[in-house]
Amino acid sequence: MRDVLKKIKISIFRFRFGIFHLLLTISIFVSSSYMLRAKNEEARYLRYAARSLLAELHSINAACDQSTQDYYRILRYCDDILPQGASLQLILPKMPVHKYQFLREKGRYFLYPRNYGNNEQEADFILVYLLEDFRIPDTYRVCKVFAENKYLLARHDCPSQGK
Amino acid sequence: MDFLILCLSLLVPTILGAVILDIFFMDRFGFWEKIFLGFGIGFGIFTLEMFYQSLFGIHFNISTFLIFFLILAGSLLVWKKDVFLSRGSFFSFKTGAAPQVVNNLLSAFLFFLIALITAKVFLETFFIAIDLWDSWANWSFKAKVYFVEGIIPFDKYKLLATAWGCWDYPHHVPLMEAWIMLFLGYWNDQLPRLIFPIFFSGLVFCSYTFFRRYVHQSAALAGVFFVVSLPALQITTIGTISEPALLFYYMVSVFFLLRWIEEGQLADFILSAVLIGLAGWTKNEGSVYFLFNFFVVLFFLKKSNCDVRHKMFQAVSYGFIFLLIAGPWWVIKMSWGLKNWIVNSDHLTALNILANVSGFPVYLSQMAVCMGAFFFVWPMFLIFFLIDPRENFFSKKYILFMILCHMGMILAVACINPREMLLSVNMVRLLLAPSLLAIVYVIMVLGRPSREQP
Repeated sequence: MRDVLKKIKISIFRFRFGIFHLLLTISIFVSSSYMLRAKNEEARYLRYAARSLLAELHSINAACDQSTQDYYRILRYCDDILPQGASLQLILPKMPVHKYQFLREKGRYFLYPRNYGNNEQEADFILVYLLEDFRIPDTYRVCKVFAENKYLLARHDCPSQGK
Repeated sequence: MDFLILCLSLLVPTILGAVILDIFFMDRFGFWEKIFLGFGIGFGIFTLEMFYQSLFGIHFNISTFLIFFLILAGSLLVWKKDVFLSRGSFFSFKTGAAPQVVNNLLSAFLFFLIALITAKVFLETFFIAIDLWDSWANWSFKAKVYFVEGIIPFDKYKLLATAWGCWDYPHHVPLMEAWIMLFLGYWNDQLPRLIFPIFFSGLVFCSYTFFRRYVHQSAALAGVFFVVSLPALQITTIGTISEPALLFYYMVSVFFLLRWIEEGQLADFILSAVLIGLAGWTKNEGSVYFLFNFFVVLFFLKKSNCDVRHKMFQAVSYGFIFLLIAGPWWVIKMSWGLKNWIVNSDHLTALNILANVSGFPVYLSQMAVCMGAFFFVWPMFLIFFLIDPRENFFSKKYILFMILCHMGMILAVACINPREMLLSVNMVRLLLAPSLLAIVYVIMVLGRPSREQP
């Protein structure tokens, strides 16, 4: 029985290149169809990206959903005006609209070295984003309003110019 | 202008790595092989130098790099002056290693497909600025910290660890990104992304060179097509997470290990150890992959005819080279108590593992589902495994052993910490290395019998 099996095995083994080429052909078709399926969307994006300004591209990539398309622009603004050593607290909605929004983390990433640590303590600046009922503390003044529920606060004694 | 500076920042480590390969391993490599290996090894040298520099509290700047570069070049010149003096030209390449012309229609077609996919990966990587979580939160954030601080701020590690991120991860990838920023002089989210498709191309090219040892050109290109067409490999490269770098170091290390097993050249053995060390310096998984390579070294040495002292010396050397590269960070992170979020002392309890073992059939079926993400690689492997007559099984058995080790590792991780994400996205990532090994196995079955070392 074992000899028979071995003979069958060896006879199939002789056709290994045939089997390999057959699998290769199927694989080329499958991966081509995978690429073609994604192609339209990707090609549209690549055409758009090739024509876009870098900042615009970053803005689109940095946003996860429509509702936070302006977040990157706001962070860029903060990055321009906040001094490097300043501390910044991010006040964001408790529950993200989208699972992968990562607003807090992106804020910290883009604004490093300003805001690291536990984000609980009072900081030199507060960025309020997408929060309707936030009460501005007495020790802060509004530094810049981006929208009704999106604004930057500065502590009264903090300068807000230049990196 | 930025693009030129980027090229310069990539060229400096590449040339350093290529020169070192040239000095120590003479004309063993063709031009592109030397360039890609030089890129990986050169960057490894510079990131290790940046790591030690940080340990001594010396900030990164061009002058410290230049001093290091000059010291290294000077030491090499003194140590290997006979090599420099005996050379007609500075660089030498393997005789007859000129780029081969594709010699039939199938090869041309496959070459075209591989080039197309590689170009697509390069373009997409470049035209996306911020993408997968791991890319910016794990790697770029650290790179930004190192760039802004001008050093790895070990004193701020505890504070930074409260934010997020896997602070126990090795520093190779973020330091590579920080290196480019130091050349550019400002933070850029986009340009450093190009290192990942370079590792991808390096993996592709080195796989081709290795496959050509066993099979003719069109079959080798077909094997490479199976590698480049892996969606998981493309996605991790475009998403700029560390997998292409890890897989480049690991797979090339395996290639050299197999070459050493078959031909017994010491140079292959050393390169395999250096590259697996760099894999451990890239990601924690690299250190586990080292163990698989190390077991292979032990099994091979156990069977070989050389004397016991020589065997022990070789085994210890392999481990020593790895520890020299990846060891210091392991010592530091363990002494600082930096925990891995997947595998740590909280999860490594008998009670926890016993509780999770009951889910073993689920993990196994989930692994089978994840294997589906690799197109035909696993069915092809299964077919070739069944029809392989096990003759001239010499180095193929080591590949099978490594695949088994990978499977065991994946299932063990699932038993330790069976989170939903680990059983899906992370499992696909962990399956990348055994999938590449499966392709190598198929090529070995297809090809000429392997030569056993006497």
